[in-house]
Amino acid sequence: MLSLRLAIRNIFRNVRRTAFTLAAIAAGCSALILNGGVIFNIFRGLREDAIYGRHGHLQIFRRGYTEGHLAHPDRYLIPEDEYPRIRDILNGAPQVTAVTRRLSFSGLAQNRDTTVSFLGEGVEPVIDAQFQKHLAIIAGDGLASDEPFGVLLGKGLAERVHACPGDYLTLLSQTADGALNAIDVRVRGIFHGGLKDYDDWTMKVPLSAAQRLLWSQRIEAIIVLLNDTDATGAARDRLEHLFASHGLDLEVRTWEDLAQFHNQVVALFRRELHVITLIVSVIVILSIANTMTMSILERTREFGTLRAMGARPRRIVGLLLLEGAILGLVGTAAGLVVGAAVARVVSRIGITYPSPPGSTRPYIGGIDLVPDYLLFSCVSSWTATIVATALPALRAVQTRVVDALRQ
Amino acid sequence: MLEQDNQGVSVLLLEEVSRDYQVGRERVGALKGVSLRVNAGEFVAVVGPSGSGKTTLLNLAGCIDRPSSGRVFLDGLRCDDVPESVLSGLRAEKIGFVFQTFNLIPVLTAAENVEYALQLRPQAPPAGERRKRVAEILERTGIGPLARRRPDEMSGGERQRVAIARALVGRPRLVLADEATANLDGQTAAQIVGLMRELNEEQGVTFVFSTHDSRLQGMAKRIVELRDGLLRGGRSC
Repeated sequence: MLSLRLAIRNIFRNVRRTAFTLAAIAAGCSALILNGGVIFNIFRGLREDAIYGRHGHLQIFRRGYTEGHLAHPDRYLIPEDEYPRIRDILNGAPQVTAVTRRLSFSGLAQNRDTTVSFLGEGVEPVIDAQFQKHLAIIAGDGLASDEPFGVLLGKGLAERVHACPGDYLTLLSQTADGALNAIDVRVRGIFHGGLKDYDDWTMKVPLSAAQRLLWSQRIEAIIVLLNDTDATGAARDRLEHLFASHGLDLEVRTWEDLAQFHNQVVALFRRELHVITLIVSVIVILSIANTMTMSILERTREFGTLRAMGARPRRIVGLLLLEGAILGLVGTAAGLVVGAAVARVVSRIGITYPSPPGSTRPYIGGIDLVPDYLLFSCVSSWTATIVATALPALRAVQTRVVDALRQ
Repeated sequence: MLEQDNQGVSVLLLEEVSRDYQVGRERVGALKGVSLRVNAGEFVAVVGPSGSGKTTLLNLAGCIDRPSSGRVFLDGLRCDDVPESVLSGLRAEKIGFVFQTFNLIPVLTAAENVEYALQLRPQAPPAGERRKRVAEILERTGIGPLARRRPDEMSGGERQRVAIARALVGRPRLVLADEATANLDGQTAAQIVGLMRELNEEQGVTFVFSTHDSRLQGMAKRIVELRDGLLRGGRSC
């Protein structure tokens, strides 16, 4: 107890210096929290975009689809008559909140004298909105079940084909047996999906119309939303087991399996996060090491006295590390409070980022407080303080006792 | 294994001890072949002018410096060639130090300063026992009422009494006081040396103190005179 009391009182010997040291630790800890918070917010934005803008939580395909669908797209479609059985299994799974079917295809769209290629997404009109939360209708209306040949065009595609809501287009595509087929559709609306490539090429077509165009009753994928993103892996395992037990030869892919862009960005930013953590830790160490060195040098004679009285060097190092640990704890706590408060305020206001690569609209972000990363930031700052204390402490006890007493 | 003094156990024995320092390119001898035996219960004043080697002798006696040649025995155990870790234990168990500038820890109270010395011992007594011994020694050195004061709230004489209490609380075999009265006025200095002498007579603690104050020399039982690093003989009072 006396050692603890001594350590605490030593910390407040020089209030101004202690305040500076605490400010340096707190600033470092806050910087880590805020930088990490910005990055985790971006991660969350990308994740939400991947799940609710594109992939859902899970996608169910015919087994072998991932490896083989590019070479043989028709071989890996799910027969329409299997869908009710699959839907029943999915509806019985407690985490599943929404299910929809999709069928992607390519074709040509003709509007009077203009013909352009497009990528079609056959979707279920009503429920599709739940799976495309980031999609904004900028002209006209969304898909409707009472208009089976009403389609939505991406903003860029609409410009390319010179189409407005209300215009009629003729769509041409190849059927499963290689013949050409065509249907007429009406443009119900124009959407803005956020990604330029997506907006330039995509047409959303009611599933029944897409199946009519392709002359096939099959579907490519069943998309599933869950009530908890963290349960995605467990849900996949459970569904794969259920499908197998019901004799359905299906593969289940998670959004993480499918979201390559998300995965690449996350990997890149995680590396950046590590580099920033290292840089901030070094800055904290250098800032604190200076004041700790001054503080320790001023007390050289005191350490000489303690050693003359029989204190072993490790005891003195221990005392100084205890002081550093307490300083680190207080500074880190202050940094946590400041970082969290700033994060809350900034998140409420919002940070407007320019449009990310490939995107067509700015991104409004915030600062996320992720418990694991908060803990990591605090431990990093605290460890940096201990390291900054250890270096001068080890140097201090290398001084000979008589030399220390002469100081 | 510590080597034993084979001439019978004395508290302190220096045999042909020399201590040289490198000053620039020259080697300067601070002590030159000094031999000194101090027996239990002695009250020894080391006297001599500035630069005569008093502090060097006390540093070697206190095992906080090592001789260039010669041997040092503390309580019968050779301590000039043992590792620092062993010396720390020896100092904690057997030696008390009183410094010219008191060297109290400024953020601790008088009682805490004294208690901390006990805590530094390899086998520190339990808290209750520590506090009892601290209270006793503070009372004996006349600063019981000031136990909760910090050093900066005390006079020089009071601080030195705390330093003496700190040196004695571990019941050492030898107390070394290097110019312990140099920062005090004449009356306070005499009181401090008087206190040390009382403790020497009451508790049988061996004291070796250095001073260049001729008035205080008269209070010693034995005087050892150093001049230019050489022992000039001594006398018992």
